[in-house]
Amino acid sequence: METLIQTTLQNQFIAAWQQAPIDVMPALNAERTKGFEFFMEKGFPTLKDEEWKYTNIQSALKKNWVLNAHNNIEIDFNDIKQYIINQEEHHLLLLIDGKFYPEYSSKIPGAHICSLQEAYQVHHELFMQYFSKQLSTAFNAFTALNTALANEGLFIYVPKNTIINKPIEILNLNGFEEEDVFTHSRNLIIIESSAELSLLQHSHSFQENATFTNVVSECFVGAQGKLNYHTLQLENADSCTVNTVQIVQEKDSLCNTSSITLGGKMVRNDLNFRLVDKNCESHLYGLYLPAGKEHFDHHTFVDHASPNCYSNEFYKGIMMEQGTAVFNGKIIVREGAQKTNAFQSNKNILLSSEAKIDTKPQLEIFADDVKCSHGATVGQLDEEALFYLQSRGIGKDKAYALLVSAFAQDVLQQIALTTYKTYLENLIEHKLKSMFKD
Amino acid sequence: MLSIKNLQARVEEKEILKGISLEIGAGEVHAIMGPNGSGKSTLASVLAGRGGYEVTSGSVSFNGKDLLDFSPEERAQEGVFLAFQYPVEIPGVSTTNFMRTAINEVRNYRGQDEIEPGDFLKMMKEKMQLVEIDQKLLSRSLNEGFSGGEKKRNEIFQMAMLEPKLGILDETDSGLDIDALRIVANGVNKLKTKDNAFIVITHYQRLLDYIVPDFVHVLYKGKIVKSGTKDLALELEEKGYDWIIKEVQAAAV
Repeated sequence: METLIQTTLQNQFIAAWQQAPIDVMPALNAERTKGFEFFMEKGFPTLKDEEWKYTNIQSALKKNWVLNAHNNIEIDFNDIKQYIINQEEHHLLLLIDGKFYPEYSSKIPGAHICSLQEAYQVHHELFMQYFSKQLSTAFNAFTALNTALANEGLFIYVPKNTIINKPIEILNLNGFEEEDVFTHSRNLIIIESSAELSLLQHSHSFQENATFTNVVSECFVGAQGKLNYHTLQLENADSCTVNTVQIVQEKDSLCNTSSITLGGKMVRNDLNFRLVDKNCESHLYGLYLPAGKEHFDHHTFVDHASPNCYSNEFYKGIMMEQGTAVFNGKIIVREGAQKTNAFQSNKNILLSSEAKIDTKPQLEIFADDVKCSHGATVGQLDEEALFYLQSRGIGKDKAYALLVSAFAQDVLQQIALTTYKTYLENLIEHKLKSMFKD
Repeated sequence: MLSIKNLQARVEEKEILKGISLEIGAGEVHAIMGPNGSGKSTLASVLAGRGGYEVTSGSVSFNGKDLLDFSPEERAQEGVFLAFQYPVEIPGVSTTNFMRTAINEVRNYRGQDEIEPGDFLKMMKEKMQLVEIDQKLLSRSLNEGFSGGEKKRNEIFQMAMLEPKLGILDETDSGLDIDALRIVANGVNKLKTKDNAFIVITHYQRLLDYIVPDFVHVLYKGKIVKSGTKDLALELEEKGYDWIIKEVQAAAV
């Protein structure tokens, strides 16, 4: 049965590949063929694959997924409004099942924003210069498949010296189709030298039905450029996401990321940094709260390929009920990347005996004049702290929720967008309340 | 107000309290003294409901209710307050936010509405002055990075905010310099009324110069071996605990 369903899905991929109009983005054909052949040869990973050892992707694939054909969807904006965090303080870009809907999106002065296919036409040279350039050396099944089959997605180009002051809220709403769809979507974000951009990308399920989203975002930050990239996953308990973000930083650039995972059956976030020139600074913050039968997996990879760069990573996890999570943080300091400062910390608390975390920090250093540290902790809530709160009259459930929120605070306080931060605090409080109520 | 009868308690397999009886009335201050390991802090913990202590015998009645039947939060809501010997640091929760939550939980238990934000701020200001604590300290994470004195002042501040019927001070004087000790003691004295009571647990007589007890009890090996007035504390200060221990041993023979 398992094999049959997967064969069905694989047959859909093959059919899509064979039917793909070669004239959609013809200059990509060689790259796409490479991706497709990679996938056909390797297939989806199993638990034997070191990078997927603790995330059973085979079980997430075990469903009658229908490959998304990206039909145009009639949208009533009133149905969407409730998902928007703040339309006054943020620009809005709307993606429905991975497809960009410009008619419901803001016009953003200074930035060039369009769909992937339009970018291929309008910004062809730029597009070809960047598309898949950093991925293809290290394809995995999902990025390979995405490269082969993704025709939809978002393109953001911020030219040299342009500063986009207002944060851009990218709203991903999934599950508009009748069936449980498997979607590929691809985003390309180019920030040229001395340009600045803040993104706030959040994904939700629009309906009850399940979705499987395989999204790849490639970000390029030019010399002295600045990118803030916040992501939030909040999908329903049947939906799966594999989200790969590849960030390449040029000289003197700065990148702040936060990755918050609050909902989904299986969420896998791969966040890869390549620091290709001197004096780059990268901050990676993350927070995950799986409950029920949710499984959240965060893989990060910081590639210090140049000297004098700084990276700081701080991820925290709160596992409740039967929730499980994976943290795998890899740092490589390449030969010649002297004066590297690379720090990583992962802290977890387990709130039930059935909750689980697999955490694995990895540090590989090939330079001799560097400062690096990493560490991971797994614990329970401090009983003495709990008693302290109770002894002031605070009920046990509320005390629990207060302590858990407090545990999350030092990640949240790194988020400079106050409206977004408050939004997150409310979501977390809500999730905790539903956990601890009798 | 509080009636402890033949209270026996243990931690794991170790008997710590071996039959304590004590009557505390409204408006009274009782000091409990004794050498290290005599069971002073255990008594405080058992009264406040800390986990890990098993009451094997005896009863504790608080205003006619069985205190031991209540959860720690219910005891607090009923009006018992424990000032911790080692206040806990809680990163990410400010004292202000913590106090607002606590007060509203207590009010909710008593069937009152949540406190008005304006009233809460007014109350904060008033009680802050009582223990000479700074607003800035209270907006920081609870006890995190506080000095020993700041932590103890924060305990008394919280007690002032919650206005308990029974305040239990567990070695509040430990680790305090003389100035901090005076501030803390002043705070407690200002909170004293004819309707509330205090148990002051201390190893030294020093604190009792400032918080003058109506009764002094000496705890030794899990039992109250001697009770008296504040003069007993002075005698202990002068002669140490040895003479009482000898007395107890002599009586046993």
